[in-house]
Amino acid sequence: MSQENVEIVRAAYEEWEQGDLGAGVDRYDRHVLFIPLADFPDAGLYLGTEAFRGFMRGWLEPFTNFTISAEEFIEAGDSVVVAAHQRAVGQESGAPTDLRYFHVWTFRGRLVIRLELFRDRADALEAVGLSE
Amino acid sequence: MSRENVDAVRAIYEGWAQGDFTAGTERYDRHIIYIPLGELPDSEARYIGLEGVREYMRGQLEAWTKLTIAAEELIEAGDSVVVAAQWRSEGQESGVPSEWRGFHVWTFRGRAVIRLELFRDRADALEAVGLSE
Repeated sequence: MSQENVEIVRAAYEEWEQGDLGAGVDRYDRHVLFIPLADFPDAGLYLGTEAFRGFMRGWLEPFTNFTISAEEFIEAGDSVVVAAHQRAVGQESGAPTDLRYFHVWTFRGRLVIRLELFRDRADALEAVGLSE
Repeated sequence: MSRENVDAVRAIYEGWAQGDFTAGTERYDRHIIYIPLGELPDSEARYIGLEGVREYMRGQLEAWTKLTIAAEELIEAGDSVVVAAQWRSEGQESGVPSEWRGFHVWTFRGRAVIRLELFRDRADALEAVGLSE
């Protein structure tokens, strides 16, 4: 299942890279827990697909040309660590933004039950029981 | 890690079977989620974090005396563990003994438990972890 999980995540980022951030939602468990970076404006815990969608709507609103691409996938049991690269342009300012951080996806069976963001690679790896 | 997870869960039930529900709490992730049975009155309640799990357990322990939960079978499924469990207790006021069987699904990320969910049926618990009977 682990390699299959990596492929599922890879497919989601292929769409996210094109700006389709709705890709992969069919894989979210209805009680999926989304945990954004602690220093994001709307940091907190978002439980369930509707809460997740609500967060995403708010997050995307100030931007245009929002894409997230994957630069590396690391398999760790039923979790997948992704080195992600986010690019966007400010809606009003027109200023480009560029951010690199880490996504940790955790599956139970075929569904994603947690997606958590980390600023640092070491923290993301530690969360899945790995070290650099 | 999977075998280690099974052993960690087994050790937790050894405590629970003696009525020690603090057993294994050091394994709980700080954002652990506990999801009770969908059919219970509090089914929409979601217990998040260590305090959330404590709140749920306090509710259980207030309603019952001599509550124990023993594991009868542990099934490894990747980073999840399905447990066929047996609850035994006595009503706090009535003293009437009760007994119930259900299924817990524990899911780990690294060494930490990030989700614990209760199911009434074996088939549903297995399906949740991608297995079938």
